[in-house]
This record gives sequence, structure tokens and C-alpha cells, in this order.
Amino acid sequence: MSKELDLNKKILLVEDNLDDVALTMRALKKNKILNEVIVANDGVEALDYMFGTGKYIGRDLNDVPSVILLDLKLPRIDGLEVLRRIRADESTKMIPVVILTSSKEEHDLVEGYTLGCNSYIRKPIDFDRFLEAVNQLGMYWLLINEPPPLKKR
Amino acid sequence: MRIKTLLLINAAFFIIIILLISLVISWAGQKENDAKEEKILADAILMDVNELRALAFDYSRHHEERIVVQWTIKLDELKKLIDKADFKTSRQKEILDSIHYNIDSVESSFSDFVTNNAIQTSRDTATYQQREDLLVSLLLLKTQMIVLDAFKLSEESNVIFNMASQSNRIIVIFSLILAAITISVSILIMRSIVQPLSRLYEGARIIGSGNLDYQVDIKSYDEINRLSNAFNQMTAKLKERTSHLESAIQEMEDFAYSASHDLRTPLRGIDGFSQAFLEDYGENLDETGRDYLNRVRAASQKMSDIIDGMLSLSSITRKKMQIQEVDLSGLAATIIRKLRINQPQRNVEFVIAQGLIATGDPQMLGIVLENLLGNAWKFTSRHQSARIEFGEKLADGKTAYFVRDDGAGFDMAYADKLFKPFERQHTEVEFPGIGIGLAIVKRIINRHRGKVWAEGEVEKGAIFYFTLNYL
Repeated sequence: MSKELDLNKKILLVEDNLDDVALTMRALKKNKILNEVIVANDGVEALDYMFGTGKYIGRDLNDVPSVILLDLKLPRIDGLEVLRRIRADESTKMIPVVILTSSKEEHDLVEGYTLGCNSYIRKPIDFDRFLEAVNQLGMYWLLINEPPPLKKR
Repeated sequence: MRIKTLLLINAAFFIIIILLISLVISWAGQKENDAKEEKILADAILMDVNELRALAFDYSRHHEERIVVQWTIKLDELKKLIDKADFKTSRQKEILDSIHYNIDSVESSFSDFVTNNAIQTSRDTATYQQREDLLVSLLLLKTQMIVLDAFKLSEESNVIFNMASQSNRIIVIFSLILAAITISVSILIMRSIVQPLSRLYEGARIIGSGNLDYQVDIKSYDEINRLSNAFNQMTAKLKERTSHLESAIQEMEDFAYSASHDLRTPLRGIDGFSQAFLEDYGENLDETGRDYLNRVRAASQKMSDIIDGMLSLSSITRKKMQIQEVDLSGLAATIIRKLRINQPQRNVEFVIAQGLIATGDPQMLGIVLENLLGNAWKFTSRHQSARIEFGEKLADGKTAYFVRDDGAGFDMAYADKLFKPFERQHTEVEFPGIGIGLAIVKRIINRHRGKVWAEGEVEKGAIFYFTLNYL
């Protein structure tokens, strides 16, 4: 590997199920992806982080996550709405968003891509396959993919 | 108007018109007949009068006794004719009276004449001759008058007859027109019944073929209107109930979908944390402990397969169909290639009928063939060699496609359980699987309004048939 993982890059994990949070964190750790993971347990929290509102008021908004891992079924504001708002805002619309969900409903897929998600991954039940998936998406979005230049604000 | 009233009116009108026409025609015919008879009578009178005149003239010339006899006979005949005569018009009666009067006069003149002739010997010839000349002239004059009257009578009768036959012709023509009008009115009435009926029939046909939005539009004020209103109400009810049923099914499907969907999350936890437990604390466990954890993982994997099966089963019902022509032979060939790539060591002979084209959803029919051919492939796996056939044949007059194999087969006693979800005929050790494939096949075929059935014998093989009815 010619490139090293840039550990300053943060990951925003939007996931309401604490088991899934733990398993995702473990999968990241197992794959040696040691970047900081910010966890938002619902859509509102995710948006608060992204736009420095609510409990994240006053956060340095120049510190944008390199990738957002987004579940769709979320309390309060659901994943697709979160995606819609991120894409609607000039400062966040270019951040890579990977939908990580258990839904394989065609409607969710179509809607997700229409709203501009960058990948759509269906969480496998088998933990080995889940590990593999997390490894690949970490590798791709944190190492291979060149992130868009983000405007300072 | 009500059809019953309409039909009654129609029938009454028809009968009255027909009676009227036949009455008028027979009356007119009678009248013409009478006129004709009068005309014949008048002509006969004219002829007899002419003959009498000729006889009178003859007698004046020859004085033969034979002529007197003939005269008497003719005169009697004429009198009988006149007595028989029953003329209608006053003019005819007038003429007839005049003839009658003149005949009486002629009769006496003639007998005078005959008497004069009989006594001629006892008188002097000159006086006799003088008297005879006078009598002859008188007789001839009188007969001439009768002839003229008879002529007039004949003429008059002729005119009456002509008038009668002309009016008869007019009456017949008029009757024909009347009959034509009656028939047209009847036809119009019948059409006013038959036309909406056939529109109702057409509506029933369209609705029967599945278009529940169709409304029969009949604008009339009779039983058919009521019938079509009731019909439209029935269709509306049918539509309502169909949509109720559809939404109930939809709800059940949605429930099945979200239930199986939601089961995935805790299952991922079970599998994931068992794995984590094994990895992080496996060394602290003995062989049995690790075996148990592996069994937990295997069981959750199995459950995951079942959930996926349920999800794909419900996705078949939820998916919108794209109906088009599907090359079944081509699909089968692709599936077989994949099967061979996965297990190249297997010795299986495939026989695929060429050019099997069906109408349906290509993706769904692909799933059908994947399952049927995949099953055939799977259930022949314990035989040294196998033969799998895909073809078509006629069953009950319809094209049935079939997949035949010579593998493990099944007991026909359980044939009805084959297509139920999660029903299996073999243990997992013999043949792996969760028992969802044929349930999916059945659902797809149902959505294509077709039928699917199977025949089999243990260790001899199985045949799966399906028909498609999406036209």
C-alpha cells in the first residue's frame, strides 16, 4: 500500500441500533480502520453534527467527515431525509454518503441513488461477510477515493 | 316507458292495424265485387234487350209463330234479370224503373201486334197494313228506348265498377303503407330493447375481463335502465370489495415484509456477537463450548436464509410486472451454463426444446426456470449421471412447459405440499435448501394466471409443469 490511512479523517456513523453500532465499530477495528467514528443515533443527531446545531452547537464545521455511513430506518428523521438535507446544503453536498442498511427494497435503493448516495450496501447477517463489507468500504472511501475539495466556512 | 307496457302497446297496435287492414280490404273487395256483378247484370240486360228488339223486328218481317215463342222466353228472362237486379245508386234505380215501365209497355204492344196479325184475315188488308205499320213503329220505338236505357245502365254500372276498383287499389296501397309503418314501429321498439341489452352484455364482458372502472351508460327510462343502474352499482361494490381485498393482502404482505426485515437486525447481533465471543474468548472455552457457539452461528445463518426466502417470496407479490415476450429457451440455456460452471464435474445431459417463446415478466420467468432447473440439478446430484429436459407439451388444450429430471423424485402422496413455503421432502443433509423455491415458482405462475403442478416417483425423477395465461 503506497498510501497510509489518514487518521485525521473522521467517519460519521448514523445508526440507531446499538448492537449494529458495536458490530460496525468492531468490524472497523478488525480491519485496522482506526479513524475517529462519530456516532449519531438518529437523523436529528446526524443533522445536528453536520450543521453544528443542537448538542453540536459551536462545533468547528470545517472538520467534515470523510464519509458518512447512513442507516435508513431511523427514529425521528429517517435516513433518506438526512441524505436529502445533506445534499441540499452547499457546504455538505459533496461529502460521500454510503447507505448501510438492512433494507433491500427497490424503492429505498432508487430513492437513495436519486438523492445522490455514493454507495448502497445491504448489511449482511453473516458477521464474516459484514466484516468484509466494512473492510472494503473503509478501504475504498478512506484510502482509494480522493475526497472532493471542501470549501472552508 | 316500461318494456312490458311497450310490448303490450306494440302487440295491441299490431293486432288492431292488421284487423283494420283486413277489414278494409275485404270491404273494398266486396264493394268491387258487387260493382262487378252489377256491371255483368247490366250488360246481360243490354244483351237481352237487344235480342228482344231484333226479335220484334224479325216478327214484323216474317210473322212466324216461332218468333213469338222466342220473344216470350226472352221477355221472361229479361224480367227475371230485372227482378233480380239490386242496384245501389238512385240513378241506376231510375233507369231500371224506366226499363221496367217500357218493358211492360213493349209487352202489351207486342201482344197487340200479335193479335193484329192473328185477325188479319177478317179485315181488309189496307186497314190491317196501316195498323201493323203503326204497331211495328211503336214497338221498335219502345224497344229502342229500352235499349238506350240499358246502355245507360251498363255505362253507369261500368263507371261505378271502375270507381270501386280504383278505390280498392288505393285502399290496398294505403294498407301496405300502414303495414310498413306498423312493422317499422315494432322494429324500433324491439331495437330500443335489444340495443341497450347488447350494450349491457358488452359492459358485462368488459367488466368480466377485469376492467372494474367500466360503467354501462344507458339512457332510457325502462327496466333496462334499472338493470344497468343495478349493474353499475354491483360493479362499484365489486370494485370496492376487490380494493378492500387487495389492500388487506397488501397489508399482510407489508407485515410479512417488515417483520422478516426487522428480524434481520437482532439476528445480525446474534451472529456478530457469537463471532466476537468466539474470537475474543474462544481460547477460554473447551471444544463443546466452541461447538455450541458455532451452532448458534449456523442456526442464525439458517434463519437468515429463511428470512431472505420470505423476503423474496413477498417481493414477488410486491413487484410490478413487465409483460413482454420472453425467450424461455434462451433463459434456460443461460441458467444451465451457470449450473455447469459451478459444478463442472457433474455428468448431466441437458435437452432443451428450441424456440420456446412465452409472454410474461422476463425477470420472474427467469426465477421460475432458475428454481425448476436448479432443483432438477440439485435432486439429480446423488446419481452418477442425469438427464434434464426442458420442453413444452399440450395439457388440456393449453401449452404447458415442463422440466423433467431422472433424479430423487418424490412421493406423489405429498405432491400438494411441494409448493408450500418451507415444506421439504428431503432432509437438509440429503439435499440442502430451505424449501422456498417452489413456493416462489407457484407465486410467479399465479401472477401469470397460470397453473403449476408436478408428477414424480421416488428415485425415478420428477416433472414440473407450468402454464402461463398472460395474453
